[in-house]
Amino acid sequence: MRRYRALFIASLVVSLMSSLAFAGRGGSTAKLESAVRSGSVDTIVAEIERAEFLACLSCIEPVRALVDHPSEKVREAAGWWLGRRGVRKEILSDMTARLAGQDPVAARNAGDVLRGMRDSSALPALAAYVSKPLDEESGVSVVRAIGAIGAPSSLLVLKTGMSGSLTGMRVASLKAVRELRAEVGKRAVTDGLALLPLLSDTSAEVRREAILSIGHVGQQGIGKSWSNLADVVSTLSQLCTSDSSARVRKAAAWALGELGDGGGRAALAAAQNDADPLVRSVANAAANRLR
Amino acid sequence: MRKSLAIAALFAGPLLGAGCEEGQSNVLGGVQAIAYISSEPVEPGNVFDYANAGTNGNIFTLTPPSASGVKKNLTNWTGGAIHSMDLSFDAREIVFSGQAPGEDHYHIFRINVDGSNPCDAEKGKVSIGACQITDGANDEVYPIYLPGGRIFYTTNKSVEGPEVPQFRDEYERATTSQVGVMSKDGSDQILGPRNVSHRVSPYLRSDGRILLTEWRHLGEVNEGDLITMNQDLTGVREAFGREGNGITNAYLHAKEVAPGKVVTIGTSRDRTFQSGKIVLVDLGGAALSDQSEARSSYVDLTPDVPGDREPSFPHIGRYYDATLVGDVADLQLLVTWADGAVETETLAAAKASPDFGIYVYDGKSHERKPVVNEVGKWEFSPIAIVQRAEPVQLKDSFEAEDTQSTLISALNVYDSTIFPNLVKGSVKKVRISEGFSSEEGFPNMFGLTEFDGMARLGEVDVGSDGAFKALVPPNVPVRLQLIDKYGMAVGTDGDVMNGSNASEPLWIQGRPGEARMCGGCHEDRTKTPAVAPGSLPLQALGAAAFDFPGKLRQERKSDTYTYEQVMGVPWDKALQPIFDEKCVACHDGSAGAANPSYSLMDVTDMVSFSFTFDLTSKPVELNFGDQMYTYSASHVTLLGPSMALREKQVVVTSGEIKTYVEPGSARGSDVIRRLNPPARFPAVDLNDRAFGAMPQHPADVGTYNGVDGTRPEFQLTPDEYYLLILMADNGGQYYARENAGGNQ
Repeated sequence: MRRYRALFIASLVVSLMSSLAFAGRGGSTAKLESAVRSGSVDTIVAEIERAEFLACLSCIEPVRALVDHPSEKVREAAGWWLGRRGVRKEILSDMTARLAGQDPVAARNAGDVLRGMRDSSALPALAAYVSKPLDEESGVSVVRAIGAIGAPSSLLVLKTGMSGSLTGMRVASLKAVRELRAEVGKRAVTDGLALLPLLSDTSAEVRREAILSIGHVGQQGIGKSWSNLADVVSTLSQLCTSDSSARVRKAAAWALGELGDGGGRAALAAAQNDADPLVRSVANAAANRLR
Repeated sequence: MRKSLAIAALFAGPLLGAGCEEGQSNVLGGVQAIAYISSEPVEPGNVFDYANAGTNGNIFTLTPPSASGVKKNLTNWTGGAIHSMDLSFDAREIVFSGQAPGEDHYHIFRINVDGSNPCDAEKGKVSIGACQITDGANDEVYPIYLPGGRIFYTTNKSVEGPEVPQFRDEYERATTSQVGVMSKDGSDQILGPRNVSHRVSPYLRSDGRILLTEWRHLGEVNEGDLITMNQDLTGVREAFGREGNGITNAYLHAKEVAPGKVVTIGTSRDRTFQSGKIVLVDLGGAALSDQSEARSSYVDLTPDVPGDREPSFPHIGRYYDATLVGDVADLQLLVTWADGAVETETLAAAKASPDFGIYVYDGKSHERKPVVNEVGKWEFSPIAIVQRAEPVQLKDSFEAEDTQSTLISALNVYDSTIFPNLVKGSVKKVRISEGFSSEEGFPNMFGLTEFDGMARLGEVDVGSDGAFKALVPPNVPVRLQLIDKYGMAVGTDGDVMNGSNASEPLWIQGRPGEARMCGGCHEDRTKTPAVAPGSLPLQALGAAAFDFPGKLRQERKSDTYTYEQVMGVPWDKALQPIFDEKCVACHDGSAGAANPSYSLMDVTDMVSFSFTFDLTSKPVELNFGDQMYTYSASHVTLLGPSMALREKQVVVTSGEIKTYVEPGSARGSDVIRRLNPPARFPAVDLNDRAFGAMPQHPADVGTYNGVDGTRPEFQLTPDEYYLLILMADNGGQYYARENAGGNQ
């Protein structure tokens, strides 16, 4: 009798707790499976998020299957969810093993899943892949995972990505730099010196991302403390006025405004007469920021 | 469902179906033209997703606004995306957020309504097309015009610079959007103080204040409510959605229909294409002095439309936005609407998409008349191209004197609408804690609870008049808790056994030099405090200094876990040593009277789980139902698998399951009650215990397994009591900055 009473009370407590109106609650295996069947990326991601705290053995396999879903959004969300489950170590092991294999699609998917898991123990495997990527797409995925984990020590790995032969990886590495945390006590993870060589890259996309990253780490007056600020401003000024890509010229104008150094005034003045209207207006905004 | 559909069909009678009828006359009265966004269908994500506005977006004008009107493509982009837009006060210019062709970020652009370039025009040049006023590595969305040639927007750029990435959302996944203002030419950008989660969908009211949606996430609060703020990003206050007055989980696209009245879209967080029902909200009165969240109310203008994520019905559909055209008495709304389910799963399964188009909706008769709706395209965010009065430039926040930190103060903490039964004299301190999310190098969670990361900035004395003031870092979200003489968040009604406590259920924040001065703690907002500039409550002089000048964000931590210095409460560093020294002699995980066991069965998966009380540091992989917790045994013991249990049909098959810490409430936590902490303010008094005559553990058990619980070495020190209290009051997290571990 006492046993049944305890069961009843426990069930009642759990039932009452379940009825509380928390946003996003109420997930189930059936709902996850239904979402997957629909093919809707938004629905799948929403159901995965709703199942944030769902302890659910039968959900594992449906979500595990999503690590190879066609959508990188779904793969990332699956990694996030699986990273909170008992299969975490198994998934980590599986994904890092993929990075050591020869299937670039499997490696790409692994990068997306590890991005969702954000587990720093995957960094060695990710770093190893950056030095020997199977292809550009998987390399980009892996670099994005490194950025999402955000460890300041990953800057060295990203420098490897920046110096590689694959344009997409150089672009992704420069983007990932902006995701890294600074070491405690520092205002940014790096300075302009490390990124300066990328400003002369043959790819306009790489030059542009390098410019954006320089503007990012040098914002709020941080760049004014760089020993090579004059070199950075000079190079940006040249790109702002004479790069063949309007997107590069525009980004350079923006970065000169972010750095806030008066050395960029002449270039910004010239860029206000650029043939491209978007370059003109961004240069105008940047010039006004230097006032 | 079938019954609901039948009811819906009854309501469907007077409504017109989707699609334009050729020759439809101008249904907008005196409005000569509208502007709208056209885009290919997309799944836009949850209501706070701001970076997925679809493809092939352009801004069109339609003159006159009828099916036979002339459409003009202003932007003429191929492969770009348009997110949102606003019309200038003189109705000559549009500011919009878009992803220009070939770009990967959303930035702010301007274009004249005749398609010419306003930036070039200001330089004396004539050209066609948009000009861009922001660029860079972040996104800027939701621009709206402000008085004085300024623009308000939201962005994922961090006001605290590149040291740490922007806050993540309540799931620790998406990067949040925060507020900013700038000049119309893109210069003078100022980023505002941050919320721990998103802020989106702003609108400028006629009184000059900005109305927007804020995702509130603090502990188990998860909802998108309406707030207001000043043009200079100061003076944030709640407007609608909380205090029991809401109808849906989130409110978007709020727009004023009359002073003190707005229409907004009420919906669930996700799966509804960011659309829902139209809700007419009364903010409490026409005058600001009458408005408060507690006095707000609403009328559901589209009661047939689901307010949650369930599929809607034929002829009912869902609304993306609504804006008043003409006289408020007529309640004619220019709306974006799509017919049918307008729910992602249903439509994806059918390989279909909602067809959003622009309509006029009569809020009284519930009739809907089409304006423009092309097959295969979405038309949304319509704006009537008419002039409107430029509101005044407001600068009405309190300015703190002699500081560039934020001054937090209250005149009388006992003046409160949400804690009306506070006992006078019960509040000894105000605890101020900083909030953050996992971008600082934490795992995806801070522990076994929903609470964000927190760091105690300090506790300030409350005067005999109930007043306090303290300086905190600017731009940083903080939470206030009223603290009793035992160091706990004070009970709200004088009942020591009532776990409810006076902790503000939201984050507040201020700009550099802003004084966030309140009459009380969540007091009636209609009672504007009368404080003259220069008066004492606005002066930094005498304020507790919790602002850590010169310290970067990651440096706001302490490795000294005393009452005076503790900030975060890292479980392994601050609490485990207490357990190891004072507790594990008995609570070592050996089943027995001191270590009760329980077994659970998940009846849906038929998975069993057993656990025994254990305060050791032993790593535990709690694999109940395959949800894994890899924390110390002590953390799992005290916090328990409660979050998982809320989702499951679980029965206790043996023993008694107990969660010993109630996240967010030391007063309501069983472990704190058992320990029965002593008073520590104004001085430690071991004879004055928080829970009166309740036993004091471990002395209450006498001797157990040869351990004498009455001996001094097993008694907690006042600081040890306090650390456990702070852990519980601030959410029971395992991780704090002090043990983040991700910054190698």
